[in-house]
Amino acid sequence: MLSYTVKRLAQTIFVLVGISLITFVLLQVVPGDPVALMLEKRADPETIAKVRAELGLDLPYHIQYINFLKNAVRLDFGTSYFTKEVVSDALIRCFKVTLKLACMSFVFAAAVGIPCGIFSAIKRGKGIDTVVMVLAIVGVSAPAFWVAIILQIIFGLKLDILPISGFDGISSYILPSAALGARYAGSMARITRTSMLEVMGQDYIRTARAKGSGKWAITMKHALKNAMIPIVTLVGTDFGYMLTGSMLIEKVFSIPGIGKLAVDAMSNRDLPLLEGTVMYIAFIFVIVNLIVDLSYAFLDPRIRYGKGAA
Amino acid sequence: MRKKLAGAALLCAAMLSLAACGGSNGGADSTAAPAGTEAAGADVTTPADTVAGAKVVRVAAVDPQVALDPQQYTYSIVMKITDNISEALFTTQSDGTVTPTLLTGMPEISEDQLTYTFELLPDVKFHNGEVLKSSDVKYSYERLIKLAKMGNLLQNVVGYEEMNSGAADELAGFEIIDDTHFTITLTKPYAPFTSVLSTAYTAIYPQAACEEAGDTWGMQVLYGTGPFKLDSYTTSVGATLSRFDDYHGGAVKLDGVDYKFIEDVNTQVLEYQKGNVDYVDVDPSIYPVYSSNPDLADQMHGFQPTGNYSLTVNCKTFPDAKVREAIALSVDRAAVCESILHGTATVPTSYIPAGIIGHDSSLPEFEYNPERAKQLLAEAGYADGIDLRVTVNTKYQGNVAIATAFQQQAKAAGINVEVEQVDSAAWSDMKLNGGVDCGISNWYVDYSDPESMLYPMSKTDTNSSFWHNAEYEQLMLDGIATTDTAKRQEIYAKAEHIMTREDWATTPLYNETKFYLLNPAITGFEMDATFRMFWKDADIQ
Repeated sequence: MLSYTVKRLAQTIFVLVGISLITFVLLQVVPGDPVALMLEKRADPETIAKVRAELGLDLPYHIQYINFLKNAVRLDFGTSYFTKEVVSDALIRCFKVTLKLACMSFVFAAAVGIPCGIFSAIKRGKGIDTVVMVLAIVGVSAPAFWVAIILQIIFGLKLDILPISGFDGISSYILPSAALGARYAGSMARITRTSMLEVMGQDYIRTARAKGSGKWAITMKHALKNAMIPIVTLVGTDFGYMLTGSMLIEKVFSIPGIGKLAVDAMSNRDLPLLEGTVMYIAFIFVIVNLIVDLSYAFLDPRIRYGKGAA
Repeated sequence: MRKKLAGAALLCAAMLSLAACGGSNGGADSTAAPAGTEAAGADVTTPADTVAGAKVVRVAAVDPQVALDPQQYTYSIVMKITDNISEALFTTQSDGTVTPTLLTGMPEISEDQLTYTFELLPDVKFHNGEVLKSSDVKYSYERLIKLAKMGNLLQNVVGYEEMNSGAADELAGFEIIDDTHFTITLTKPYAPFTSVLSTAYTAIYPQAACEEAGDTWGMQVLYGTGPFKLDSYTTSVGATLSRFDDYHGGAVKLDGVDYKFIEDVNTQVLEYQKGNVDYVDVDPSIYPVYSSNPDLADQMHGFQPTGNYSLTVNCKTFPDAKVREAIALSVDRAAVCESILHGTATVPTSYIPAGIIGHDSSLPEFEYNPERAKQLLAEAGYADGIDLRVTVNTKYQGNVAIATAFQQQAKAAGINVEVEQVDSAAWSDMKLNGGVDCGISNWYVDYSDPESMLYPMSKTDTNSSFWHNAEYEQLMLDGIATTDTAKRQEIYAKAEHIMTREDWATTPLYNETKFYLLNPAITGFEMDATFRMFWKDADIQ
């Protein structure tokens, strides 16, 4: 297990270098010059050349990339061209906000989605099962920004019980968490139901029933535990997505998270900020996937990693 | 063992969640407050006008995310805030006249129109208590040139070229006589000079404090001579301003202005409806939704900013003026104004808007005449029509809809339009490099002068049309060389005629109306025609 973990972490370095190179190359290929954007009002060739030199953009591409790598090793991604904020500071600032939003959205999605999926599986074929699954499909299909606006109007404006926007206190996070979590709750409910139905048909469940185990014990102890692997895979990936921010939700609720930071960096062609953000997102995904993979071993004793693993 | 591990993991997750959700200041703790002011993360969501009866206007704004310094960042969202903090030597009034702000009167101008002699008002104080001196003005102008962004506003001042190239450290044409007197010498007569010195970019800063602040200027520290001083500026949260009691311009009625940063245009209006903000811009995309709301009808105000939206054709791609004229005749502007812009825009008659020297009110509206367009294309050798790539910046979604409508309208003229959507960075780059064959763009004046309006089309190497006309360029030189208004009217009207009705390098599409919602309890506020917001004379009833 330890050697497997170390090996996966070592692979992460190559993944990050590869992603940084792809990002750098793409930014050179796509049209868009940050200096032209900065100087839009009075961009004459002399001024553009002057500012390019100040930012080091007049250096050959390979030198620019090597300089980036040298600094990135020390977790120094430079300074944003536009805001002049140190990139690592910006990432930390936005990560704090995104982490809060992700945790609350995750709790919302898991608390709503998984029990609904279990309930739906138990009540398979009944009217309530259909209602829950229709709601789950609505949750998955409805655009997050639309859900956000509806929630703002109902709870923020009409009922006046929650803030419409901002990130000042836990109450500010309730509506964005619900808007962001609705989609994930829907998909969790669906995968939980499917996985539970598959497990509920297994022989050992029949055996448990024959031994006289109660419905609750069969569902929670025998069925749910064994149905967890696909659920954990989905939940883990979903949490990874949540940690990388949601630009639309962040914009609608004025929450300065990672998603908005990434989109702003891209639209401004803010190379240091964009490279830093992409590195962060890639790192989060790699780590979340690693944790998910490792968790399988805890959930299913048949799964083993490392030497001699089956 | 496994259960213990799972339990520990669960506990860690719970602690992480609690830690993440704890505290009430959100991300505000990561930004710094200005020196000597209240702590960052001040609760800008609290309706400030209810706190101890203070008169504070709350404005919904987009987070600039950059230093509040127009010399570095030319965004209008920056100036929305700084116009109430810092001041330039002059102010342009709503009728276009320029009046002195930090001066005892208008400058004396030498007979050759080259030397301007200024006298500063005595005892004008910056927010840090320092007294305004001639050296602060010199420093501010030199800083503007060094920062490059808008430095070429001063390109007609003696010594600009040397400073801009790095050969000189000081602006040779700026001579300090004493603490309140100075002269500025120009290389050639320049009629809009005082107008230029009324822009936000030429704001006067206290030299010592600005130098000491360095990169924190506009982020943590910003001192001006304006009616309000900056108390805090917190990224993603807002900016709070309070009244400057030593303001040189007389009593200010408001106690302060709070800018609440809200990104989404719809959320901004919802916050207004809830009573959390007193002022909000109404984006054109949501105007139809809210304009029909009877509860907001008397709170919705409109104004026409000095500028326009236009269709600019690349003269390298389409060197024949007849083709460019055909393109201009293929847009049904009236239909665009009525349907896509919901009747809020008007069909233009000229590129130079009303109220600016050079506007010719006798001209007819630009027409939609596909038959004539077809005929012109045939005369130019394109009897079978042409393919036209129209590029639009997705930042302005209305333009995408207009380009799509144009796609249909132009078919009648035999023009096959392909709509290309690009983001702002690509748009700026493509414009500079000649990658835009035909594009929809907007332009608003920086100062009330035709020179500012025609600026985008004045330089062959920077105008996206790459249009060059010797007579036009001479007229532009003649226009700045005279202060005679009648002469200037004639010169600029002629220049515009060449550009939009002879060479068809660019053609105006529409004059827009911008809308905003304002709490009816607020009086004394008017939007400036150059889209600047001054709260100096406002009051809350």
